[in-house]
Amino acid sequence: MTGGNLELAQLFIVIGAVLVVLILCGILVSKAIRLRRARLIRQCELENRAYFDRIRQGLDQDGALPKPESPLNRIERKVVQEKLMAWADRVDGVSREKLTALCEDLGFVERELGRLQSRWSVRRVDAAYRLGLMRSRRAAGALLEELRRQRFGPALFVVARSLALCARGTDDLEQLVAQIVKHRRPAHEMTASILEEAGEDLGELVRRLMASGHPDKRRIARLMLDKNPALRLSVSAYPDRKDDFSSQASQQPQEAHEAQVERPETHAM
Amino acid sequence: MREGEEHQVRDLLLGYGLFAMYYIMTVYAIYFVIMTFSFRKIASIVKGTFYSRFRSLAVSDHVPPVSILVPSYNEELTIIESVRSLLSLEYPEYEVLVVNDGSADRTLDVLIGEFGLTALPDSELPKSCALEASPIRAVYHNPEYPNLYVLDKPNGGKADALNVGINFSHYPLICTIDADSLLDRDALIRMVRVYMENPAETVAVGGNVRIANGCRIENGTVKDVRLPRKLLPMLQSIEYLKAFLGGRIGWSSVNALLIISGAFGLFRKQDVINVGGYREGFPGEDMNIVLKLHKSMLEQKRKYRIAFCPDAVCWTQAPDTLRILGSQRKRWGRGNLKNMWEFRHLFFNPKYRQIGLFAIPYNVLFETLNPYFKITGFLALVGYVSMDMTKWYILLTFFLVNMMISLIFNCGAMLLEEIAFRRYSKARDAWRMVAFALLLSLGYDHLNAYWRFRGHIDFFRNKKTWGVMERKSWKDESAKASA
Repeated sequence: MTGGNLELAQLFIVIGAVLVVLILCGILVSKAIRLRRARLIRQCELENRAYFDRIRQGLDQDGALPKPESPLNRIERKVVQEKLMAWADRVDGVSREKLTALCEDLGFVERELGRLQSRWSVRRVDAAYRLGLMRSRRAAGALLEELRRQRFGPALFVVARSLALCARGTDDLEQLVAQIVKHRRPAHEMTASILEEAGEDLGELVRRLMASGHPDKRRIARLMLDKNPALRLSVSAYPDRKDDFSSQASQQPQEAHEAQVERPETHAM
Repeated sequence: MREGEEHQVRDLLLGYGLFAMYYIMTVYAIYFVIMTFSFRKIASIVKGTFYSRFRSLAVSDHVPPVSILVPSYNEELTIIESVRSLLSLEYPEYEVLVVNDGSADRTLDVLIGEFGLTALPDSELPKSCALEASPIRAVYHNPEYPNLYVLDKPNGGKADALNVGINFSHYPLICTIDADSLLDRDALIRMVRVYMENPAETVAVGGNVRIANGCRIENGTVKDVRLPRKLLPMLQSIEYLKAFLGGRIGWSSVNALLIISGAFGLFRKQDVINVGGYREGFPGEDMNIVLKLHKSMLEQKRKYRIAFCPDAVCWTQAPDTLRILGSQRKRWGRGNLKNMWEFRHLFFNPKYRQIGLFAIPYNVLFETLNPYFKITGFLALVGYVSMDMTKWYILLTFFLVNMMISLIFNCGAMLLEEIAFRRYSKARDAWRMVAFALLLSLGYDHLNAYWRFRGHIDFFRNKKTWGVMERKSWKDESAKASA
C-alpha cells in the first residue's frame, strides 16, 4: 500500500474512532438522563400520592379540584401535568371539565401555549399534543394558527387532532377541515376520524361541509354520515337542509364521478 | 517465480486490494448519504410515533378494514401463538387468513383443534379469482372467531399462498405476515396510520422487523424486550437495526424503497392485483412485488409512494445456528440476484426515475456485487502479505478500515434507535450492542458475503428449493429468556 493510501486509511480510522466514541457517549448520556428522570418521576409520584388521591376524590364530588398545598418545583409540575393529562384523556363530562380547569389554574395550559411559539417544530408538536390532551378551549386559536403553519405530514394530523379536542365550536372544525384539504392530498378517513374526537355537535359541521360544494369536504361529510347513524338523524333534523340529505343516495354516483375525474387514485382502493 | 514476476504479482495483488478497499468505502459513502436521509426523516417519524393518538384511531369506524395474510408451511410449532397474537390486535376491523400451503406437518390439524374450526360449504368459497393461483381445497372457520379463516391448498410456494389469500380476502388492504412472527398489538394501526395520512398516493407500507430471541413472550405478545443471549441472534439484532433504521427509513424518504419485508407489509390490494400478484418460482417475492409496483406506477406516471413505518414492529425468530442462517442468507442472495436480473431493463433507465437511476444501480453495483469485491479484495491482500510478511500492517489497515466503517454505521443505527424508539432501555444494552457490533466486522460480514456468493451460485444452478428451515416454539424461546 503506497504511503498516501496508507495515511488516508489511517486518518479515516482515527476519525471513525472519534466519531464512534462521540456517538456512544451521546447514547449513554441520553440513557443516563432518561433513567435519572424516570427515577425522579417515580419518587415524585410517591411524594405526591396524597395530592393525587385528593384529586381522584374531587372528581366524584361537587366543586373545583384542589390545588397543591405548596408551590410545585419543575419535576413536580411535570409529574402533576402528566397525571392530569392522562386522566383527562380517560374521563369525560364534568370530570374532564374539572381537570381542564385545574390544568388552566396551575398554568399548564399557559406554559404549553408558550411552547407552541417555539422555533423548534418538535417542541411545537409536543405542545400541541399536550394541549389536546388538556382539552382547553383557550388553546383553540393558537392551535389553529399552528395548523396553518404545518406542512403536509404526520404533524399536521397531530395538531389537527388536538384542535378537534379543543375546538370552541363548528367554526374551528370547519377551519380544521379547510386546512387539511388545502394540501390537496385529501386524507378523508383520517380527517373524519379526527373530527369525531371533537366534543361538539357535528351536525352543523356536516351540514356546512355538504353545502360547501367542495368535493373533498363533501366526501368527508358523507363518510361521517355513513358511519354514524346518530349523526344522520341529527343532520336530517335541520329543516332547511333535509332535502339535501334525504336525496343524498341519488347524488352519490355523480359526486363520486366528480372526485374520480379530479384524482383517480383516490378511488383505486 | 523470478523476482521481477513476483514483484509484478505483488503489485497486482496490492492494486486490487486497494481497489477493493476504495470500492467498499464508496459503498459506505453512499450508505452514509442514505443514513443522512434517515436522520433527516427521523424528526417527522418521532412526531408521528409519539404524538399520534393510536388509542383513538384503533377504535375509529373510519379506519379501513384489513385482510391479514399468513402463508404457512410446516409451522405447527409457532402457528398457534402467531394466530393468537394476530387475533388480539388493537384494530377495529380485520380478518386473519392463514393459508396452509400443503404443510407436511400438523399445521392444519393444530389450527383446527385449537380454534374448533369446521369446513365451510363449497357455496361459500369464492367463485371467481382475481389472480391465477392454486385451487383452495377447503376453508375452515368457526363463528366464535369470526375474523379467522384457515385456507387449505396444495403446496405451491409462498407466492402462490399469498395469491390464494388475496383471492379469498374481503377487504381493500392486505397485510402480509410470516407465520413465525408476532406483531405488537398496535403494529397494524401504526402502519395503517401512515396509509391513512395519504391514502391516494400510498400503495404499500413496510413494517419494522426486530429479533424476538431473548424477549419474554406471553399469549403471543412480546412483554419484555431484551437482547438475545446467543451470539448469532445478537449479531442479527444489530444487523436488522442497521438495515431497517439506517437503511429503509432513508430509502423510503426518497421513495426508493426496493423491499418490504415479507414478514410484515401492507399493500393496497387492487394495486397488487393490477401487477399480477406475487411471482412464483423463486425466493425474493417480497422484493419482486415492490419492484413490480414501482415499475407499474412509474410507467403510468402516477404520483405514488411506498412508505416505511419503523414504529410498526413485527418480532421474528432469528436463526441461531450457522446452518440455518447460511441457508436463509443464500436464499436472500439468490432472490436478490433473480430480481435484479428480472428488472435489468430498469438499470440506469431514466424513465424509471429514482428507481432506475439510483436504487437499482446501487443494489446491483453495491449489494449484489459486494461479496465478490469484499472476499477477493481480502484474499488479494492476504496473498500480497504472504509474499512479504513485513507488510502485515497493510492487511491490518484494510481490516481496520472495514471494521471502522461497519462500526460507524452500526452506532448510527443505534443512535436512531435511541432518538426515536428506545426499545432497549438499559445502559448495559448499549455496551453489549457495541461489543457485538465489533464482532460483526470480525468475520460475520465476511461470512454473509460468502453466503450471498453461494446464493448466486444456487441461482445459476437454477435451484428452486426454499432451503433448510427450523422453527422453535415461542413458548420454548420465552422459557429460555426467562431462565
